[in-house]
Amino acid sequence: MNLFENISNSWSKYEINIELAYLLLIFTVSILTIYFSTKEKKILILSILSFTVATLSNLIGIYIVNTIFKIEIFEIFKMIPLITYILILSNLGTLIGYYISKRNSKGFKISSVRKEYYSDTIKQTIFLLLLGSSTLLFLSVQTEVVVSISILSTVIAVWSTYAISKYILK
Amino acid sequence: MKVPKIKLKKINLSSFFKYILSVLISSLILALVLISLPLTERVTSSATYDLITKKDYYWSKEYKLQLDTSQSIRIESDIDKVKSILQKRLRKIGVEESSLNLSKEGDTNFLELTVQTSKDIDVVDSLIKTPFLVNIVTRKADIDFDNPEDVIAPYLLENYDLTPFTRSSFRNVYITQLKNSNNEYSYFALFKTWPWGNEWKTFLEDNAGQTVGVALDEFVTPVQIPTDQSLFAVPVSSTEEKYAQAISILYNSGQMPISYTAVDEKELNIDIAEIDYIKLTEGILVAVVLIYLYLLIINKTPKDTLLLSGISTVITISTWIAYLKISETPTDIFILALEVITVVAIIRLIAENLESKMIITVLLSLISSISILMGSGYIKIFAYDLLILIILSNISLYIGKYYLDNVRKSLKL
Repeated sequence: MNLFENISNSWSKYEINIELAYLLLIFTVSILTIYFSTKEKKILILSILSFTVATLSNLIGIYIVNTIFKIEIFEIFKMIPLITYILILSNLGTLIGYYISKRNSKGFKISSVRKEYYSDTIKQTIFLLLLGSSTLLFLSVQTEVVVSISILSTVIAVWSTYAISKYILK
Repeated sequence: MKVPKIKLKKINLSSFFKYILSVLISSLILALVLISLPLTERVTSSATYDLITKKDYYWSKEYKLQLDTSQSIRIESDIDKVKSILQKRLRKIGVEESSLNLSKEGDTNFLELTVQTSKDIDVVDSLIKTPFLVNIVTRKADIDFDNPEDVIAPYLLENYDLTPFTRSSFRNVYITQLKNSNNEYSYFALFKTWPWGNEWKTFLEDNAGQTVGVALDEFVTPVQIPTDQSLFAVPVSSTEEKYAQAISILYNSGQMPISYTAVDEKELNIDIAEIDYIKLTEGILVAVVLIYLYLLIINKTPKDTLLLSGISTVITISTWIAYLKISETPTDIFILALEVITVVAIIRLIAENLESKMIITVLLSLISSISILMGSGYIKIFAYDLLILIILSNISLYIGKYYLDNVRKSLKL
């Protein structure tokens, strides 16, 4: 059951609409929650960029796996965006949590968030890569691919967010 | 004689109870870890618990549906609607994997529907094979429905006139249990109209006290409209809850624009991302221990944070697996693997940034809730479990912190 083949040939309008609405709703609700909890446009922009990079990385990852590694795309691959968004939101959550707890402190500068975010991101990256690589030996090929694409997409997205934050969080 | 005074040393009850509680929590954690580990049920013969995998519940079939497009004006649009309704039905029952392919032989269109699921085969069969075209019909004047020599007359569509009312004329069809004429509970379908549905009101008024019919495909169920026109309740043929649920799905997934017939079906081999549960548990255990040891050695994270994170992870994962084992819940092992990996990463991040606990919990709970409502197949299963695991990991973090503080105080560390 190749997912790409399914989408192009067999998905009905209902299925395409509901899948798009689902991903869009996750994005919108997450972004709105982030904005209403921080009231900070800079963090909102960073979050949107983070989601965009993660989604693009997911698509590229699935495409590479399908075309270069010739691995068939199954229904289980639909979980990649969900796992990636969960990991991305956990990462952004640390940034937001730090911002909320410190924003009313004396002498608080938004640039200090970036420093804290760097420390959290490096720790999350090490942990995710260790966790991903150590569990790969025990998983089936499809599950391995899902874990690998999700973790790599998360790592790419969080580091892109960190790199872009240099220009936004100042 | 002077009675000697016995001096009682003041006992700090609070510390004593905290100490007892710490011992109890230690025992509980140990018990949960032992239950969650694979094959530990062999330690004692008094308990029979092992993780039940869903592997044996899966089945796969390919159905070939011949579409009747002879009356169709917009064939493509009608076929897309048939596909949408079939997908809606399968989504509602929770089928894990499905795919649809359109093919053409001469002028005849066929839909090849492949499913792979752990759901009840009879229920899925009925959801796929039944077009379930709903029409409200009235009796033809020239037919004798009370003729004892023609007992099937009330059930044949040819004996009825079609009315403009189809499933699309109603807002919702609600399946519920009501008392029947024998004073016993059985399932009925209650047709709910749109608030502006005056035509239906007029129809009920015009036919009050008379028998009309609800045609489901070619079969008619006679329904007597009460004189007060209070309720339009159609008896449901099934008495079992699972079939009543299937009928509710059939009624509420939309009206098929065209009919079809299931012309062929064949069983397929199941193809799931199966993992050896024992290897997986051992692997994850070894991985988590090694990662925490590595983090301890590189000394980048405070030991207290690592300890809290580690103990909370152990409590969360072992409680979850122990629950799955004790409740004998059939589990997809590859989904369990993804859940464990995700939760281990989340707990690690929350334990390191306790100030972010609230926002991370809120965001992840929202995402899980949306996925439960809008997701399908494996996503729904994963999201439902994840929501429970998020709550569990928050409780574990509280227990872990309380436990570590108490142990530290008790051991005067």
